[in-house]
Amino acid sequence: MVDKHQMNSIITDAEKSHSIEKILQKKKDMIKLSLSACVHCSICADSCFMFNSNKKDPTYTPAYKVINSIGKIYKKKGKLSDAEYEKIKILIWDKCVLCMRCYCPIGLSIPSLIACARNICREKGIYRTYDPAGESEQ
Amino acid sequence: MNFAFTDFYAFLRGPGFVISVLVFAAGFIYRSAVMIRATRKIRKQSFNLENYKWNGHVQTKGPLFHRIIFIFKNKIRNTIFGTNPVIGIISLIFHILLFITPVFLSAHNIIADLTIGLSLPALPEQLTDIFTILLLSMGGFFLSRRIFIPRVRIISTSRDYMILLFVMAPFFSGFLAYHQFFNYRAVIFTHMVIGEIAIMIIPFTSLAHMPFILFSRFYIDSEHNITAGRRTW
Repeated sequence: MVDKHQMNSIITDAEKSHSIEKILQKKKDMIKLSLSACVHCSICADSCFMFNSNKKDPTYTPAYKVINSIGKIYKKKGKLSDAEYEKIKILIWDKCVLCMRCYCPIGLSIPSLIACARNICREKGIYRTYDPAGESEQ
Repeated sequence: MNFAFTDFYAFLRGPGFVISVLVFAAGFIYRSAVMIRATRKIRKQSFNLENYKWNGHVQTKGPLFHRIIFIFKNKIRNTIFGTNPVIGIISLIFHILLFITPVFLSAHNIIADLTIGLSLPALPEQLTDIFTILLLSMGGFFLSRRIFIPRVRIISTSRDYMILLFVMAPFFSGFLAYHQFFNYRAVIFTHMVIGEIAIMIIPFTSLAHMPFILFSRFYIDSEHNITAGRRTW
């Protein structure tokens, strides 16, 4: 069981933050370019089956998922609190299945950005858990 | 006052415009360089692509017209024209008008002819006037979409409203100047200053989608490419 105090700590292990920085550095140009070129038109929403099958909930918009996952991570250089990472986890795993069917009229690669956010989360030790009962035992 | 007016006007007409175009070109080149740095060459495939080609979805029989329609429908199925044709057509017309209205405007071409002796063919004034009204109404449509549709509102920031303002302001001031509403001098100055700022900020704001789209549709490989791309993310 993870200590509650530890959960809310914003200080990450040196190794973890180093590997996160490494990923961010490697993908910096793509992330920066994509975030600045996105015109927030939300046309990508129409091509997202998760958006269409969840009563058109705006938080399922692919652009929203990108801006609030990798966008936030990039702006704060990976130094987010665990609570914020948990929110990101919901966005990039529960609200996106990475089916790669999203269509961006400008041609941004939304799946690449979400995959990058997933990579960073995995480095942080946050990933998709399929068995809630098993999780509580840890 | 008169001297200052002509001085400033001459600056905006000549060096001011050149500076704005140079800033735009520099930004365009910088963005392109970043785009090339961000992508990598596609690795050579070790398998023969021909073996994996599946032509089952392509209609090969029937009249040519039907086949063309079929291919076209398949091509656009998952794009903006397939999922939301109204927005697709409106934004397509918006972007075409955004380009042709200022470039083929007779007043702009007269200035170009007087300054450097070269000009492009000009559209009739009544037509460009209609285009401007259309552009302004489409700008209003985009603004209302941003305000009233939840999925657009949730990702909108002040930056998006500013960009829309910067895109629409030169057309609005140009419209006022053409019809000589209000103080002509003040309006034409505003028109020229905002227009030149708008040209300069293109590569540095979300208007960077203008150079970006050239790369993403022709150069970086993806499903919706127009030509086969050579690079990938």
